[in-house]
Amino acid sequence: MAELLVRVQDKVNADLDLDLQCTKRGDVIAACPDGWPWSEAERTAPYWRIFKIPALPLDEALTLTTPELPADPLNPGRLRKRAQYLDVDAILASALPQAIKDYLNDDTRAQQTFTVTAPLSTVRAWRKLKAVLSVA
Amino acid sequence: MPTTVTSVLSTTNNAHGTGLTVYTTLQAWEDACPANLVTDDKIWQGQAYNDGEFTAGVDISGMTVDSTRYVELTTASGQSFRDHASVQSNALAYDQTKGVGISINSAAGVIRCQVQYCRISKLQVKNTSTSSGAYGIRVNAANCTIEFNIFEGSNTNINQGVGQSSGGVSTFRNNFWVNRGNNANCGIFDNTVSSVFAFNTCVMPDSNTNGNRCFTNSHCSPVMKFNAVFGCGSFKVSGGVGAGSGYNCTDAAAATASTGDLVSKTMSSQFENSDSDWRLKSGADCINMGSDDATHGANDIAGTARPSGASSDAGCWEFVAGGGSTGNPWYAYAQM
Repeated sequence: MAELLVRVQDKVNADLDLDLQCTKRGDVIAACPDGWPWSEAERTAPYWRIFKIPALPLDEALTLTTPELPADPLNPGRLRKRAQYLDVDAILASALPQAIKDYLNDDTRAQQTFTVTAPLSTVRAWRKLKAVLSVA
Repeated sequence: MPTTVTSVLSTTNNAHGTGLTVYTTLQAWEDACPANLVTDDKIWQGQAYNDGEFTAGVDISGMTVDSTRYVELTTASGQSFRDHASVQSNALAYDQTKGVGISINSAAGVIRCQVQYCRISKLQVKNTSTSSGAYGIRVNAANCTIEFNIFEGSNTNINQGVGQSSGGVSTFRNNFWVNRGNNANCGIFDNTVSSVFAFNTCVMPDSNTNGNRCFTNSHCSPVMKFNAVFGCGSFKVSGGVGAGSGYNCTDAAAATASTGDLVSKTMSSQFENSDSDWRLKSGADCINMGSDDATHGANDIAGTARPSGASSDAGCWEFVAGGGSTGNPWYAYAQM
């Protein structure tokens, strides 16, 4: 039911303050319905991967794109784009088939998308909450 | 001289023959932006096409920018409600069939702009969430310019509304804002900085609570000029008034107490329809406020040159006598 555009390489800003707001490995950039017409850039950029996950409800997938919300909406401070991420390193270390690991490791994007057939419970286990940043 | 890198934003992956890079979501476009536009010497521009309604928002943040190397989100030529052939007769309200629109239900807001010098223009933005923080746009940075947009929200939370300005002084001009929410002390705009608000139309058509307000100014003195504010109960609460304010028109009993303000006017006398079409109508008090502002008011939300009549009108819509399209001086003479 859902397709995810996932960042697999950290975006880095030398300014440490701004770097906090750059997307990092595992951040879900977009969650879209099955059959989404991804563009060439989205299908080929080395820093992204596209996962097609038929078992994942779209409503649930969209929560992966929820940004960090401010404790005080009137004084938001610097907020990260995503409050959660997919633990890509855990996927690579897991007992999942080599095919998904090869896909994650291939920056040439020879295979542009990957269809995940693992159980939904497995997919849900990839999901991690980011630690809250302490603000000076 | 920076290079403008223009990308196509299309929900159907349609490059429209441009040969440009296409992104199917706004966030993918933003994520592809270099981390340092200054060293790259680039302007990162996204031009949206109305191939379908955008159903996810965007968080613009994390880049190093400056006044000449920045991020811009707008529409491609012909794709905005502003470019529509019937812009002068179309209702002034969110309608994605008339131009690019972004509609979501999100407590995080639709557009979050956390980087300086950002430019957002010619979009329609709608947030149907009533949750705390459910803005149409949050601008938490300085030197941004937000203009010629339609923002619709349903935020019912105290001191919140459709837009937010914090983190530094930015400019909001020639936008239409409507909050369909109603609750004690909710409003249109929350400010914690002294931003500039010029030629905005701000309405709360469903408000029946006296405690509502347009501008919530927390310990700041924004410049508020040529705004049309109706249905909000109060024009503003707390905070101060920035130098240069004035020429606002409102149904509230008070505005900025500056030169040219018109208060206690009737909402139903201003608009084609006080519930669904906020173009100014003939005879509106907002028409011809007695002054002009070439910096912020050269053109209205529909592209009409100001002034169309004797002087500029309050709000984002410049009334054109005879229903013309571009404020041709001939029409101005016709009404004399």
